[in-house]
Amino acid sequence: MAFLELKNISKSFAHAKGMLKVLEGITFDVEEGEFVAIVGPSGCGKSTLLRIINGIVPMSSGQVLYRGRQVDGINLECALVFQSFALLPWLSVKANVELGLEAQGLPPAEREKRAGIYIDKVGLDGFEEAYPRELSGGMKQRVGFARALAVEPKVLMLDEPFSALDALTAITLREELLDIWQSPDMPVKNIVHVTHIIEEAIELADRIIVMAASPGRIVKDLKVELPRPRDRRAEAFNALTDKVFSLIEERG
Amino acid sequence: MDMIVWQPLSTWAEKFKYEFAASSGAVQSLGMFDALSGVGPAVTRALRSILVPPIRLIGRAIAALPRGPELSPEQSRRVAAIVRTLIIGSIVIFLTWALMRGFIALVRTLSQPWPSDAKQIPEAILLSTLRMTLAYAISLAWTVPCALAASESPRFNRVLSPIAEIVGSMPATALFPIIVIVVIQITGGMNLASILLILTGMQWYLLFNLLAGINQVPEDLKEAARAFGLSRTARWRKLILPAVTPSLITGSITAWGGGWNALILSEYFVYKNQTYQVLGIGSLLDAATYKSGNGVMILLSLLSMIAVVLLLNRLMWRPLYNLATERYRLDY
Repeated sequence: MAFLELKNISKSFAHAKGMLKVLEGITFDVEEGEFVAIVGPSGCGKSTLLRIINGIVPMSSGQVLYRGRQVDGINLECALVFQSFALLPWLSVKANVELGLEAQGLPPAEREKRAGIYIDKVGLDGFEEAYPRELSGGMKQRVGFARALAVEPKVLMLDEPFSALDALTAITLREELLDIWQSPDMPVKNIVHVTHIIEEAIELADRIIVMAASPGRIVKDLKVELPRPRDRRAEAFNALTDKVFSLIEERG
Repeated sequence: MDMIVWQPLSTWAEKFKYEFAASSGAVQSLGMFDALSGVGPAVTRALRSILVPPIRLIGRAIAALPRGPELSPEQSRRVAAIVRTLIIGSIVIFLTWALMRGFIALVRTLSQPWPSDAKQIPEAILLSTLRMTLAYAISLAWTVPCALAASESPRFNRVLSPIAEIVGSMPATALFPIIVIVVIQITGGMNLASILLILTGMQWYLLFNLLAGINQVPEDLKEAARAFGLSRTARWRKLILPAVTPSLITGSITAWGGGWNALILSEYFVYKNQTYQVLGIGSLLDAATYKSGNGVMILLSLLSMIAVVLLLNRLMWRPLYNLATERYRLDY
């Protein structure tokens, strides 16, 4: 039994000119411990697919099984990190990180302690009382990661988390993400990472699912066998980049 | 009016909504606009072909006017400065004259002996403000839950917004006679009728602003609230209510404005030669205007009302507005 099973998922939106098919026939399994990247051109429905997996967007047909069972509504074992950070501007860093902890039924003192641990882990020690608008983009996304990690999810779901950041900040955050994922005391088993940046997917993921647009569908599912830490300048890295790029370009 | 002007405008305005999230269909108001959307470009073209030629003609005529003697840059600057001084100077002189006249008239009127009614003014102001507060509380009590419900259900939002637009754009004062007659016949209380009339002048401003605020809550924040499993009340407490606070304050300021407006008509009502009234600043003003014609009383009532409005704005709404826009600003 796979950790996550997606079975023949399709999604249509009502549109001014009838129904718009966004996703069609999406089927794949995710094994426990896998870091999966979903790559595709903009408009291929990859962000929608991510939201279908964690349940905040209903699918039109198909099935998502989490550890063999269908989850009604939102799967709280999945925690989402947003491209736009999606922090509440009127809440302090600490209160933002505590956002998901109330739903877990933790008492206030426990929430505060847990938030503190993960604020430290993402390197924001000392910024607990700051407000999002006082932080740089990179720091805001650190809050986004701390908020997701604090609920100690089994699956971390990343929706283009580095796309709104400058290149240098993105590099640092990607490295830290790998460190966090590989550290033994993390309950996070799986990462599902949506991105349009091919190099980013190859650098991070065990496996890449390549999608094409209109309607959004899977065109290739490939394993990344490169040893970690991965060198972006290595020949094998570039060969794989070219391969994925041409896969996307062919269907573009 | 509402169907052919405001609804299409509000649908069009939705195009400028600031949005981040990838999911969920955007809210769309229903209305004639859907059917007419194809007509838009044709109308624009027709308008252009009607408007552009005459404007072009005027432009050509101006360009063809005979030119005066050539001036050096230095000279033309001097001419411009003289013209500017003349215009600004005459405006200043006129305004000063008008202000002086007004002030003299004011002092002359107020230096006449004050009528005995003037003693009632403080009590009247207090009662009127009390009525306003009650009407405001009633407005809040139904518009805030309505807005929250609209935030929960896009469908309710789609239904409520056009209805509110239509009902709210009806002139409330037109309903006054009906409300007064019905309420007085049922309960005999002019106080209740007065509060209800103020309500009609207040509630729609609140509702509109709250709904506008609800529609501005970014999709990605709503998604985050749901993805992290916030309960309905937690979502209201942490996301929706803070996000609409600036709109609530703006709505409250306009609602109080509309309320004062309605107040003047609401405390004094003549029907079949019978006068229904309650003590308040509005009825003092109306009685002075329609019955006694006492200029001092009109002025005193007006001035005390203006003073109360200014005080409320300065001491309550302005600080609240500043606080709300600073704390609950939607930028991040």
